[in-house]
Amino acid sequence: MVETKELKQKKDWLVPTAVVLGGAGIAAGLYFYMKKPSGVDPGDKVRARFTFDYLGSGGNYILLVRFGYHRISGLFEWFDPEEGLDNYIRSVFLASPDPYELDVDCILPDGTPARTYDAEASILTPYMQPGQDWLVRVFKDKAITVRED
Amino acid sequence: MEQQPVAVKLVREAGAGVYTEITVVEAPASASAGSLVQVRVSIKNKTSSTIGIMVGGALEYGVSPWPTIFFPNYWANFPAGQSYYFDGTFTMPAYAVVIHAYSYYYGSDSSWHFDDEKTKSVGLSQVEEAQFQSLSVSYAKV
Repeated sequence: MVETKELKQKKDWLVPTAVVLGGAGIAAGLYFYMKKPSGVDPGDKVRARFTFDYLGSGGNYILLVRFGYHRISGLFEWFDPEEGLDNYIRSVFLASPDPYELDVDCILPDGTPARTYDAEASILTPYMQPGQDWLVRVFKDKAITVRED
Repeated sequence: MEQQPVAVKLVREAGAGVYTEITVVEAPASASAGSLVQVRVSIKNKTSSTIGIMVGGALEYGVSPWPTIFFPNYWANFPAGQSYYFDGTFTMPAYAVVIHAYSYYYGSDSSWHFDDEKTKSVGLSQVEEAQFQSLSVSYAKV
């Protein structure tokens, strides 16, 4: 009878202890998850979604994305690409005048320095030099933040 | 930028990129008449020491003398093997143009000497640019 009572007392402790430890574990996990800054890691994939209205009668084009540093000097906008993040290209054929939504997937290479990058997105014809010529281009400041590993 | 360009000791007549190399001339493929056009000329110091390098540029499209390209900062002292770029502008005429970009080095005779040249064509704006309207781009991790 005495042994049974001791066993019951042990079982009474077991459940609350497990609940407390489990809760602490979840809280700790949540803390460390929340503590990690938002952004992307080297090796992650960033999707650049181009949205535009095409008014032409059809043709081959290049979509180009570069990450780096956007600056305005005088009247002009300049873009200095980061090495390794400067050549995300997709060739597309636009068949008819329509609204288009096209994605360019950009995988960030290992060793990408942790910082915030601006982005340049441009559309060019196949005979143009990527990064040097373009038909249209748009910038987005602070487009992505690469985290420390 | 330092106040005085560093001179190259003249050992022989330079030319065709002996001390400098124009690596890239950046400009749009086309521009509309009357618009300001951006040009960026990247130059490399091919020597093993710091030298003063100057940029120049002119437009070829059938007029004489050739109009020049305006570079607000047109010279710099380059460390050995380093590249640097100069930003310039010109107003697009009503003709397609050929940009002639030039590099010069500063000699021990206190003069600038022509060294390298590179060209790039800029056409008159085509309707192609106007075929893309309302371009916007969003970025998201996937």
